[in-house]
Amino acid sequence: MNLSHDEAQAALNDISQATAQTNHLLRVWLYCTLVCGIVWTVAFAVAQWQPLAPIWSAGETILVGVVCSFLFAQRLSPVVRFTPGSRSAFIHSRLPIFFGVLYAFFILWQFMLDLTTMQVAALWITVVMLATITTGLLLQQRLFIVCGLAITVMTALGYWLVPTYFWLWIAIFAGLPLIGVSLYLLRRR
Amino acid sequence: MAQLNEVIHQPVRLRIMAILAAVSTERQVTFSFLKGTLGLTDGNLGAHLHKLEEAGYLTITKAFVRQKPQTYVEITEKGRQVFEEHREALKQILGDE
Repeated sequence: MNLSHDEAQAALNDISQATAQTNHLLRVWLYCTLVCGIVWTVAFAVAQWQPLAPIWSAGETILVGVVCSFLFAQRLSPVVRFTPGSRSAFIHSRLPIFFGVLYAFFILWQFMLDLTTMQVAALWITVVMLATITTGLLLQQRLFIVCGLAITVMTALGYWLVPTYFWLWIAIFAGLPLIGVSLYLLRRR
Repeated sequence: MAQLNEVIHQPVRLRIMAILAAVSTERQVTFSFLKGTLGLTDGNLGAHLHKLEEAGYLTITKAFVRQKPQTYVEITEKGRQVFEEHREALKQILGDE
């Protein structure tokens, strides 16, 4: 089989286009991360100057971000599934259960312990990051692990070093990174 | 030297293989996704998929999801290797010239 330069180039262009289309669709989860990042950034930035109303406690704000992104993902009908019986399918079937149990425990701790609003926020963010890091380890996704660790460290630093500006700190160092990473990966071919 | 593959090189089949290769291992895409992305009719897409399945480059699985029939397509390891080799051969043509 012989091909000319132009034919080979055309074929490679077709491959690139099909690959880019597919990658764009497979990265739909990034929109979820983007939504979560926007909710966290706006809510916590506002909270720096306008204390969160009781109905909008820190934990619920973070949960809203997570739930909104989940609902967003559900609306985008899945076009792929994990091969039944595969290791990936097993892990992905257990992850929602893990997240549910983890968050249930955290809600329990919130009631058992007398935590301040700031402590609730710091704990919620680190719980979500724990879930992110664990997901990264199970799925062998280095980006999840690195982002999870980075946001955890920055949240802890903000809690201890700048408690007066903690809300603005986590808006910048927890919310904005989610937005930044999402946009960067969405724009990447 | 990488070899071109006549079965894969047909434009529609090439795009099918590119889509499936872009999906990570242990993942299947739906027939309707392929149909929508490629802009093909059921019959046309089905014929190309059958050709690739006969060559051992992909597997087709039929299942019921929420009581609706759904067809899933997954690239095989052989298909992935052959596609990568074909892509490499195309790049070599450009490199040689």
